[in-house]
Amino acid sequence: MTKQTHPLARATLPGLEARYRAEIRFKYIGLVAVAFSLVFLFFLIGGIAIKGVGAFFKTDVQLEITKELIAEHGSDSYTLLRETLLYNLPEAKGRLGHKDAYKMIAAGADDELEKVMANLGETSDIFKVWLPVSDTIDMAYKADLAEDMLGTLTASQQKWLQSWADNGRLRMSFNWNFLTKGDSRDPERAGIGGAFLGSVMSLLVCLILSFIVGIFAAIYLEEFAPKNKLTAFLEVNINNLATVPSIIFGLLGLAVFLNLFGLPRSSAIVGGMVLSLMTLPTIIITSRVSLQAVPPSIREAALGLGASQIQAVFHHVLPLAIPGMLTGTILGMARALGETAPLLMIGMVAFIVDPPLGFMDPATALPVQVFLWSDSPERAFAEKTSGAILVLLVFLLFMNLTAILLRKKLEKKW
Amino acid sequence: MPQQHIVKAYDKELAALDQLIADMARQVRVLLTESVTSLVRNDDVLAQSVIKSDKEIDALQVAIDKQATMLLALRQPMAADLRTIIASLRVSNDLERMGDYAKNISKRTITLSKIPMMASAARSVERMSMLACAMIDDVLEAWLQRDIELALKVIHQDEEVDQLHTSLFREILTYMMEDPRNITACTHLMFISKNIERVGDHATNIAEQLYFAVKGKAFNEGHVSLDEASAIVAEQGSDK
Amino acid sequence: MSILKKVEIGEELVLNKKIIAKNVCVSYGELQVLHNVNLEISSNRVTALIGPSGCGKTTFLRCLNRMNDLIPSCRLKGSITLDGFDIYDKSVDVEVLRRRVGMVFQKPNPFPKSIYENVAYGPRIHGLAKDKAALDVAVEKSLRRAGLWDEVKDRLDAPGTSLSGGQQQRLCIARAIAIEPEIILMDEPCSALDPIATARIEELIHELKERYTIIIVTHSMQQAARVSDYTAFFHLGDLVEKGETATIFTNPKDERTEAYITGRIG
Repeated sequence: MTKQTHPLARATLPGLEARYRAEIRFKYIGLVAVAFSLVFLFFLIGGIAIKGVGAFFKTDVQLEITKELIAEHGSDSYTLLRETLLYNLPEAKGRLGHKDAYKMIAAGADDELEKVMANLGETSDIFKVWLPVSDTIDMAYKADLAEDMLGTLTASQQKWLQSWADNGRLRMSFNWNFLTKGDSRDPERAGIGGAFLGSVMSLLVCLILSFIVGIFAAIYLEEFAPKNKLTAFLEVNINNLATVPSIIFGLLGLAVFLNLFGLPRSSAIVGGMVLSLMTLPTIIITSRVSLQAVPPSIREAALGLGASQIQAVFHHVLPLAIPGMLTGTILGMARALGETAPLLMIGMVAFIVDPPLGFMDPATALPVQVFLWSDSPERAFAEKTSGAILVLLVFLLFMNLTAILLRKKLEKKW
Repeated sequence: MPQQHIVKAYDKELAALDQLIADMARQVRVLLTESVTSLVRNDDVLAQSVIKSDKEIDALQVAIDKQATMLLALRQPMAADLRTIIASLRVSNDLERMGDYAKNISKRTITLSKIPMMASAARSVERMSMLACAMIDDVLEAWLQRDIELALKVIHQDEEVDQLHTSLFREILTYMMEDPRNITACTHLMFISKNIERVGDHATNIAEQLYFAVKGKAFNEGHVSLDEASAIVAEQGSDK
Repeated sequence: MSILKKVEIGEELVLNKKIIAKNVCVSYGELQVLHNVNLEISSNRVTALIGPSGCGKTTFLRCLNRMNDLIPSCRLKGSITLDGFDIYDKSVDVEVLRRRVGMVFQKPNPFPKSIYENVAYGPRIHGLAKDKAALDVAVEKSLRRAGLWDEVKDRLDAPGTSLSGGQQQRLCIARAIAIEPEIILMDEPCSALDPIATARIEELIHELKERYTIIIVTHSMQQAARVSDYTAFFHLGDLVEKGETATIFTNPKDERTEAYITGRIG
């Protein structure tokens, strides 16, 4: 007895089997593409993460200080430091030996020592203090004393490093300096704090300027402007401006803000203004789209009740368009955060040590800092470049998450 | 009606209603003719078949009512369609009464067959029934064609039927006064004459319903009834 | 005069003409959509505007509260007067007009705010309530008149959009009457609703006409027949016939009207 095929089975429709197979193929191609991109992303980010995570940690060495040393050099932390080093490294002999010894410790360690000294308190014969090592020792220790890293050290330094490591006098601690301090010639003292602050301040200026001008421009163009050739021309131009290379805005900023208005070079305010020029078209476009997405029935309902055009827009249309506008703004900010070229044009490429205190103070920005460090020869700066990229990425991620959360929270159903 | 409805089924249903009315009217005409024939020829068998056939007419009335009710419920008719359907309901009532009159004539025919009949009276009755049948034909034609002119003609035709009835009434009175033995037969004949006169009146009603359906207002040209039989008083004392 | 006599004569009983449209011609740019419309609207009656799609009835309705001003290419010739005053006069403030002539739209469009806020918005922007207490009174009055109070009195803070379709439309009606208009324009108010909700709105219209003058555009002839006192039939931009509803639907004068209402054209 042959089994009868069900009248609704696939085989009854010609070509259906082939179509399903084609669809499955398509699905798998899509999956492969996604997997490919994920792998790529993984390697990219993974590579940077591996290279940069070390920047967040530093190596400290435990040195012994005797009461006598304190008594002798207590007032001068610089000399105290040197003497302490020599005390801890008795093998260091001669001028070269001493130089090698001094190079074992970080450049700003004397300030560290002074801070530690203030907190010593109890009297004892010997104190143990943890002080940061120099960049070369730090890199060598992080590489687990690998051959290529050791090559940057002298023979004595290698020996001392080895003995410190063997005696457990080295430890890894979190490198707060990286996050708080400004740029420096010495890798161990260099941090992105200044650049971070500069970025935040520039973005703040950018946000205030472009958000306010952009929102109101979008409201005017969408709701109030008459639909004629002039407004059509404006719309085309705004769309084009959104695609203009950002360096052009830098040139504009240079010519107008620096030369014409005479604002201080490399300041956060100029950076912010240039970035806002760049972000404005994007914000206007996304705001207009958000406004257009509000159903016209809401406007009609408000107008039918005798509300004026302005009342209808501000009481009803705008609250519904705000989620979209905010999302567009934050995404625009995220783009501005990562822009380097225009900031270079207005001079934020200078070597700034102190984090900016005011908007008129010279500052630098995160991407610019990455650019500057990537130029430096020291191995430690290579690590710091990757670390700075990680900070930048985290910042971007944070901004995008904020955009998503804000949108979810403010979205109203109509 | 000028155009077709967009929904063709609606037109079909209205046409079915008209068809039912046409069938009923034709049936009534046949019955009337046959009943008078049976009277003139004294044919009891024919008279019996007429009495039986009246049931078909009643069935048709039920069918018309059903169709009209269905149209009212399902089609939400407006204006002329609505008036036509309402008129159809009334027309079916008129036709049913006409069928009943034909049946009644046949019943009396059976009774009269046992009694001799006056020839001239029979002829008058025949003439009346022919007129009535002509009215039925005309009014049916008017209905199917929605012809107001023809309807008005039918309304006027009733005058002649009324006049015939009046004169027949007088004639029968004289017969009764001549010979009291004629009274039974003459009484029946009186009723038969009245029945045919009523058939004419109902045909007029149908014409008026048609007027209402087409024009949208009631026919009130005030047609005068020429049936003066109700005012006739026989003179006392015989004119021998 | 007895009713029978009136019915016989077929008098058009247009009482107290609230709105008079004379020779109204409306065009969108080159395209003329209304030709010489002459129509009088009686106060405290329901007037229905019927006709096939694109016949201009909605356009005419929207002229009455100047919602067509929102369309830049729309031009009106002729006059429309409210209580004798031209509503297209230069000194007319459109917001004042729309306070006196309210509108309910085809698809219920409550604001995405609470039920209370929906109804309170109109009185608020027109300064009709002195304080919160007065506003509460106004909101309750409107919701009662719209037949919605009992259903929502416990959840005035719930969003307007959480109501069912029929309730939303009644909310829109409450919103419209909260500003105490004299005239309510309704643009196919029941076309998005189920039969029960429709019936409730029709009942509401019947109650409302004691206080307000109502003009309703509807695609459903049966609805026009049920709900209105007067009906005006539009066809291809012309006002073909107007009169008492009962007459229009039992014995219309114009054959175009007859053809439309019996389902032969449109």
